[in-house]
Amino acid sequence: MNQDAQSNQATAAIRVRRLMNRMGDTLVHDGLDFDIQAGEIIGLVGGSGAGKTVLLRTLLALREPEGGSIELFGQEMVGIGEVELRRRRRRIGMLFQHGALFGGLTVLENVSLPLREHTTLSPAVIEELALIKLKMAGLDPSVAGLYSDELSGGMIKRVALARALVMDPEVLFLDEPTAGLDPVNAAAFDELIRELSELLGLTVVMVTHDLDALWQITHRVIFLGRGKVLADGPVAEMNASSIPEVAAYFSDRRKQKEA
Amino acid sequence: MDAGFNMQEGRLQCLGDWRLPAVAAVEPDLDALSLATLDALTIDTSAVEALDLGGARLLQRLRERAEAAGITTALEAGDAHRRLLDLVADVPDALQTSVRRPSLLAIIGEHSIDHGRELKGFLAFVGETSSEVLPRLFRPWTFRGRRLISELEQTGVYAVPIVALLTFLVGMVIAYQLSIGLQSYGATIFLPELLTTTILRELGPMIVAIVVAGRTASSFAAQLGTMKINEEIDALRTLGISPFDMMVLPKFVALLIALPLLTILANVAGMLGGVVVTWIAHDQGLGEFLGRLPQGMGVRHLWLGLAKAPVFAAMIALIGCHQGLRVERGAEGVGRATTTAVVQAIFAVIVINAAFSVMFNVLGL
Repeated sequence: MNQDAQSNQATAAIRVRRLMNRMGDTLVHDGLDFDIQAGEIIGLVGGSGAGKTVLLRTLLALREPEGGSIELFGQEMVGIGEVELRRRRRRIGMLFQHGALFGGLTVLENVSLPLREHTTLSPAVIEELALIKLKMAGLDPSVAGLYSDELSGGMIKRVALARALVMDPEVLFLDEPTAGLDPVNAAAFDELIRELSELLGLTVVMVTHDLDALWQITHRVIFLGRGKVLADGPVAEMNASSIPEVAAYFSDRRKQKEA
Repeated sequence: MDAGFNMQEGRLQCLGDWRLPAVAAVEPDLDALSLATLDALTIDTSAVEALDLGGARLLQRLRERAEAAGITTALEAGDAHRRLLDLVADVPDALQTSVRRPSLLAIIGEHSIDHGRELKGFLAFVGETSSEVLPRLFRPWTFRGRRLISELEQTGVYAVPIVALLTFLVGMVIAYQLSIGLQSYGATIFLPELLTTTILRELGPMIVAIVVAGRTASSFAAQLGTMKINEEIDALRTLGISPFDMMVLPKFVALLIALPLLTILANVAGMLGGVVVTWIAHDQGLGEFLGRLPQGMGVRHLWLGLAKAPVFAAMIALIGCHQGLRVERGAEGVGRATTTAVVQAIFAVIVINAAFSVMFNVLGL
């Protein structure tokens, strides 16, 4: 499915250049530059208020940046019309922090909604695809008829993941996917994301504070702070960083873990 | 290139971009393929530019259809495509969502039970509120004065402009309509009497109650409902504070005070509207109008109208709070509770008003 990305290594999945974002008077992002290659799992890290969520919203084109450019598979995402944007967004799946399942719809309806809206597939195929995605997200088909308020926190995340994947996106954004889950569930969810990424060739960008997840599944960590990318590299290099914020973020957590 | 295929001698050669959403276009063509004459089917994806799970599922469906018809199938595909087809090979059994359409009788029965249950819940709520309120009445100094004042401001003071404007306009309209009828008998002189009857006794209290039902029942339901889904109501309980005491009682008492006062305001504004019309249309000045009022038994109608206001207030407050506190199912439930509160409150106001009319008539008031 991501053959064209594999055959063309020169084009990054996501290329961000000189990205600027302003919230009121404060400059949240003061010229961000980074590339994400197809198939990578990236952890987006930074202290509270470092602009992780703003960056995610900008990458999703839910927010117009003050300046700079974002390219998705070589196609510009900033300053294009709504119609073109809608087409390019189909290559993106997003898992919101609290799931954002639609309240009046069942699990199956939630997952199949994008297919019903964007394709002319027959209802039978739509239902099959939705059930396949639910299964891939590790859910039993018996939950398909439930409403979101009948689900546990972990199940909501899994349904939301199934919905994010239903249009077979090439890039998956995750906003704190394991926040609010117990450690066992969180580890299982991380593992699921890694498996799906391998299986489907997904490029994954996750905002997370979960150090376990960063160690277990990410290939690379992008650390935001002071409006810049402070560090960009494998998580193992982070606690040896010469930048005080980065070293503090990782070394403190390491001590806690060892204690 | 869009998704497409060639079918020749049992060999399905897939071409182009087999990805969602565009791949949906080939579904009808695949379904229309006649497999009856084949002994073997070969699916060849080697010329496909890109394949995703959606496209793979369409191919897999064709394969399953062929195998169900006893045709052997083969796959000519690279490893990546083969893996995608394997992924979609095994569709979990859909739950049996047999939507059985219930009979009319069943629907009526279900609704009756729902409404009965709702009525029972409301009565339970009234009981619970009473058991909280009555002990309070003997210890008025423990009453939460500040909350009461703030609720009075919300439900009473802020409603003044809209109530005054609406009843003024209604008074004008009524006066115009009455004077047209009276003019043909040359009896416009009786306009003040008729106006006092309609406005003081019926329209004033009722319009105020309906406006307040729309404004306040909804805000009570929304506020309490939001608190309920934020677990604030539960938090109050765990802190040993009764939500009835803290939230419901001040609202209840505030509306009990505010609604009669608003009704007086409505009466004044409505009569003013009438005066303006008689003054413009019939040259009857304010003095003349007021001079006729005592003869028009205005005082009796005023008291009969005002007597209804606390009953309306109690119903509106109870319905609003009840709907708010029974919210479940998150933010969507708050919206539904708000709507239900307004509908039920307006319904209750009109029904109670009719009951009062019958009762006053029987009592000869």
